[in-house]
Amino acid sequence: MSRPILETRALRKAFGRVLVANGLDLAFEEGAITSVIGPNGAGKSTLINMLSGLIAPDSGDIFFLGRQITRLPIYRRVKMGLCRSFQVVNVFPELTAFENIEIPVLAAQGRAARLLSPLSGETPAGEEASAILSRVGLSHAARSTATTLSHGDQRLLEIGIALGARPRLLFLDEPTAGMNPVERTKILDGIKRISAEGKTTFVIVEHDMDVVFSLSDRIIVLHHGDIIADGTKDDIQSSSKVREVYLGDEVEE
Amino acid sequence: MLESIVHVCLAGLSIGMFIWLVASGLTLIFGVLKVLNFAHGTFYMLGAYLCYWVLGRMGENFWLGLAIGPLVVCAAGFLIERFFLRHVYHLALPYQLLLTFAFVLIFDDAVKILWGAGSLGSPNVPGLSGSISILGRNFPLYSLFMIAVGPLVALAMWTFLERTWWGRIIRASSSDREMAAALGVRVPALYTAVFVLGTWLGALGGGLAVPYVGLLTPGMGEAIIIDAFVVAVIGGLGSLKGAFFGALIIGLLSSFGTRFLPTFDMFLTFILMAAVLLWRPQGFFGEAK
Amino acid sequence: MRRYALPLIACLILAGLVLVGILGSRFTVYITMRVMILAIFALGYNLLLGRTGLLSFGHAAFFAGGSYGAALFFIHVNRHPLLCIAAGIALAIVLSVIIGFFCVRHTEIYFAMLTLAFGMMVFSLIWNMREITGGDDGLVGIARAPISLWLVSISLAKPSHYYFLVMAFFMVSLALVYVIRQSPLGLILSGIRENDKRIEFAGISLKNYRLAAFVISGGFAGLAGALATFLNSNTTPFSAHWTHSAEPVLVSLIGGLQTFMGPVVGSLIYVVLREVIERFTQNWMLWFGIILLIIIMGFRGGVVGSMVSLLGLKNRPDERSEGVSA
Repeated sequence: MSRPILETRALRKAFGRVLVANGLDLAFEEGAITSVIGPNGAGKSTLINMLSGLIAPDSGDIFFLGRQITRLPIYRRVKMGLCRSFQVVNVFPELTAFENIEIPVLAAQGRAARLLSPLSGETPAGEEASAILSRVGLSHAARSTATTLSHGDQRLLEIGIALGARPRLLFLDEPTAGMNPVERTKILDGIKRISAEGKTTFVIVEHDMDVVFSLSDRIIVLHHGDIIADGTKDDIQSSSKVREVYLGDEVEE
Repeated sequence: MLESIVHVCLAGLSIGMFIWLVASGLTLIFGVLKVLNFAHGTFYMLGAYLCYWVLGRMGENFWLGLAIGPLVVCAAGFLIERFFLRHVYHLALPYQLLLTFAFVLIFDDAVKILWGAGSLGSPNVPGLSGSISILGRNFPLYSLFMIAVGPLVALAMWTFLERTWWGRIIRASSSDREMAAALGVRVPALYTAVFVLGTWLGALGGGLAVPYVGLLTPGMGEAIIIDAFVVAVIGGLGSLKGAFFGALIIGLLSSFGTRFLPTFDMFLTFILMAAVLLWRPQGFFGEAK
Repeated sequence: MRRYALPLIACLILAGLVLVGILGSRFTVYITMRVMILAIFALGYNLLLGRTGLLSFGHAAFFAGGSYGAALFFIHVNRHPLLCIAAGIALAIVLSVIIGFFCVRHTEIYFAMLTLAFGMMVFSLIWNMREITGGDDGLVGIARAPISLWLVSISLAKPSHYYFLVMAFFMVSLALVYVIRQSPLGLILSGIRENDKRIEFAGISLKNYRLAAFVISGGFAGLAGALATFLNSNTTPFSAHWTHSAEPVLVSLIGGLQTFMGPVVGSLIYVVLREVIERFTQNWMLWFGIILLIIIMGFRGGVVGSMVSLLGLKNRPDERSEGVSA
């Protein structure tokens, strides 16, 4: 096995007396699509928030590409290639779709701080942004303001912004929430395609079991801040513990 | 030396209580409406002028002026909230601040038109003019009165907010507007009421300031509003308890500063404000974010 | 059409300004200089307010920094106007780096209050350090020495000569702000205004870029301050007072926060209207307050923004008109 792209050691976080990460030791392999699932309050979002730098863990370490990043500010993690999308629409509302994606692209190309040359001269950035727009299927909306896009398109744009930062590892927080079946297929195909290109490793938090089972090479199940199962689709489906704490709830829905 | 310290302390307390009266309304309005009201200094000025105007027509009776003047200012507060401020709550900060700032400009000039651009002398307050001897030195009686009024107002506000039905509604709306609305509170009406109450407090501060500051000038609101901002920030924006103690701190700082470090008196105030904002933005008494 | 609109407008402005400089009365020339100086202040300031979405109440401190920097350099070092102005800008930039370093940690009301506190600190220092700053009298007798460049020496003593120096700085500022707005940095600053929570996840350091906007606007404020010092031949501590910080805010708002020319048009309206109103009445603030009310209640795009949408000149049909997003 290759060296893990991201590793955590004894990662711990509690909100008051609620433990949401109980000394997590995780390793994500490069190239695989990993899903993190678990019932509400299992600590999925907290895990992503800690790994992406939004909140600091109480203790423990995070290593990305072999480097300690536990206390690194968000934007530095992003520059290293550790990116994320959000569960709710979190775009730049009054900018065009193209500009939305141009921002992370400029940052990734190291040209964001240029202040005396016109943006229109940033051809490589423009090309990369256009490519990403067509990747997420929004080429037609390039000049539309983000707020005028449909909810589904805004979610696609959300993922486009994350891709714009040239992620080596990309966390997707419920990427298909609030999407219609057509958009959902579009996004799942997109994830598979980008994953197959081999440059981006995906870690997905998802509620929808169809999505999880169709995409994932590996599934991690969290419950009350603990890993209760970790393996392939078959491992998870046959795990009695998962059935007990998780799928039980899910079946009732 | 001891006498001098005692006097500086007393002076500081009276300055503090005087700022507290103004800052209390500002803080109340910010706590509930989340609007930082530049016009609060203007309400203070209007309170002072109207108090002066009323008492001039009511046989020089200060207490009558104090009772009626601020009520007139409340009418202005009502109109401003109902017809202007209400329409900008959803807008970005600059619009809210500048709307209240527009009223500063308008009323500053209105006062000049009505009462002239010069300053007006202040009336005597029967029973409270003159001074008494404390440790062998004279101290103005009215300043002692201010030291007493400040805590009384604080106590009255505390009782109102903590012990009455109205107070509970206000506190509920300030912590969670949506929840209060869902529970049937008519939030817009409540906002108007709180704004008017805040206006009244500011104007009352102005009325009480008439004998204290000695003279009335059209720009008097601009000076006090910054002091009130400083106090509100130090105590934690929206925290009344914070504003009370913040005012005490600023009052004492300013009176000791004037006495011992006159060159850096103003500097100290603002460095304290900046330090609080940087290291404890929720203020001394505000809750952590 | 839009492609040629901007060079055309720039040429028209330049031609108009040159005409005023040559033909204008002493008073017109003086007023135009005041408009241009305020416009430089507001153009830079609006990069922070309109572009980045940060409301500062402390930029008067940088204006005063430029003002006193130029004056002190004039008194103690060298009388060359360009060097004095450079010194003024340098002091303003140093001040804005120091103050900005602390202020960019906060946003919204806390940022506004923090900038207010730092600005008033600068004011109190100027006010109280009489030996250096002249206290409430300010520094006086800041004359306009001739500009000597190699062989030529241009006299600035007459206001109509100084006018062309101010005009040159104004046109350069206009061009610079235009370029910055169109640059990658300009887009990043818009991104900060639109969503400061997301921008870090796009790989942008929120603090550093906010600081950049803060310092750039501080530099323009310094230039305006230095030019004002030579216009009036003195400095005043009130140039650092918070009420002076409100001026670029008002001007940008009147002109239009989201427009490039907004601050310029706003400055013109502000200065000229004040002169006009003051001819008829003492109470220009009253009228100004009413205009402000009307703009906030009904025309939040400002004069330029409202005209653009009225005339249907928008380059994008869906462009924002509501000003800074909440």
